[in-house]
Amino acid sequence: MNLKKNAGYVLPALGAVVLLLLGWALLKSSSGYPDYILPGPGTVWSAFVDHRMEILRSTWITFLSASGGLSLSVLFGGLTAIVFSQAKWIRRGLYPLAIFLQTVPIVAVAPIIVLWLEEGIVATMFISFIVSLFPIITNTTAGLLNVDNGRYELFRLYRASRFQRLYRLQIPGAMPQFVTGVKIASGMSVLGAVVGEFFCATLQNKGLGRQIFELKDYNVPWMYACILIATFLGVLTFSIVSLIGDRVLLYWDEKKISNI
Amino acid sequence: MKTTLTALLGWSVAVFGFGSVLMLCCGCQSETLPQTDKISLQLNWFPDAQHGGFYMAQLKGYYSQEGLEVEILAGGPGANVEAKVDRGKVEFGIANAHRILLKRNEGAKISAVFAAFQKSPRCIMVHRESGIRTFEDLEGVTLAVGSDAAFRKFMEQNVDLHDVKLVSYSGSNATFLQDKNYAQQAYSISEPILVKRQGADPVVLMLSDIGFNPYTSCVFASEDYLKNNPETVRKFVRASQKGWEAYLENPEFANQKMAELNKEHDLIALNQGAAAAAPLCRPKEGEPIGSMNPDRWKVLVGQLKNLKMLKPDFQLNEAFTVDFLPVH
Repeated sequence: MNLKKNAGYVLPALGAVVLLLLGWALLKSSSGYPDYILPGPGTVWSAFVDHRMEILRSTWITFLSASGGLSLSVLFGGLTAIVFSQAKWIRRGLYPLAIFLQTVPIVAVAPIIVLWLEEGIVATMFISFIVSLFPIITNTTAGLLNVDNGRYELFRLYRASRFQRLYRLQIPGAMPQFVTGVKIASGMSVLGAVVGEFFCATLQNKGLGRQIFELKDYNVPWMYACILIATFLGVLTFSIVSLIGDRVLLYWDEKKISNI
Repeated sequence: MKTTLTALLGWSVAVFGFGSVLMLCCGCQSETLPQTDKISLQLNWFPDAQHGGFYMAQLKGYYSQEGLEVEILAGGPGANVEAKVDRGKVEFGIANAHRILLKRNEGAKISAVFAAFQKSPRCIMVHRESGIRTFEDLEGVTLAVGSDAAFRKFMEQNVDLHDVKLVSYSGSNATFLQDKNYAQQAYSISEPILVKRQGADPVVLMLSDIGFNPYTSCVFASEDYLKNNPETVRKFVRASQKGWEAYLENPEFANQKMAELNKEHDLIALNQGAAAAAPLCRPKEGEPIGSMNPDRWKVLVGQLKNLKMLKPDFQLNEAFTVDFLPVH
């Protein structure tokens, strides 16, 4: 990758950011909205600078909840998908339950979750976990079931055990879809953590969600800064997952090749 | 790998852009209201004893006697009353004094014209079994507080909370009812009455006892509206005041209506709430209901500045006016 090519990626992106900031500033100055509805980019920036330590601290707390929730989802979602892939009757019985996770109105359930789990990072992690679990289960299950017919027959001919089939055939084949599932889940895990913090946070350890919840009443520029940072946190989590995911895929590809 | 990274950068920009555009689109319309005597009052919460006088004024016809057709709009957690009034979506709103100051600090041009509660019903509710009787006793409990950061910060500043676990208040009394070591924010005229009827024995610690005492259930309007419609405002304040006088005398009439509108309360709870509200609403001898004292507002400004919730150069200016109260 040469410099010219890099610039080809970076310049359009930078241009878009600049245009966007200009548009934002223009809208602010032409609309006459007060700061509590629409603060200008400069105001939000200085709110960020003024409160950077608090924002960083909150971001760290939200990041912990989100990454904890996502890790649980990866572990539990992957194992669930393996169980699902083993028999049709398991899927028929339990798949609808997994769909519930996707459709449950988490905002309504969060206050109930607090009744079971104590407020704090465990509760916010749990909500992040629930929100990010389904994409992993559904993608991985699909990947595990989508086995090449010829290879399946080959495994059958050689009387491979169920475990050998799973470990040597299904799991390697499902890796790309598993990674896709985790990528989708990564953004959602941050969303889940922020929503969780609305209801289940301790105020001594305020994540971004709780900050946003309070700041709407008295410091909207600071709130905007928190919302933007929460958005970036989602992108960051996605990026980290993508980097790791791509590496894992590369590793599995090589392994597949060496096995042939 | 690098391709992924650079693609990601582009992708982040796209997400950031989309998010910002979405935010920019919020609240893009603003309307101007026709100058009729048909007006709306936006409440800050679901109808209960903190709004009794306004319902009374409507039900007894005090508003219509003044030639006003008033629609009372129920509020809730996301009511955003201050913005609605400031942007001219409704003529009048109900808010507590500190919220009016906090929104003015951020550019809203709103002024309070009437304060239904002289003493704030804001309190912390604990179980009698906890042994806690004063703020100094607060320890070893979990305390749930909502989004209203002002009184929470005031407590953090003035009460030793090192052995108190502060958590989010979801708006439900369920946790309080099942946990004797749980304390929560409340209005003395509402939640303590409700939990008592469900078998709990609550003790209330009034925030006003430690000095945080903003006027509560204030009627406010935008500065522009006050300037352009002084007669309507005068009529509205006069009728509201009559409504509160009637409500404090005999609340049953309005409470029946509010019990229909807000299923969380029933008539008995609302009647008890109104009885608890009466001493908080009655001003000092010789002062009319709804009156406000500049010194009280100044104290509040000082407290909020102390909590770094107002800009250091914030001025009271037109945050409130008693010009529309009937002269006694």
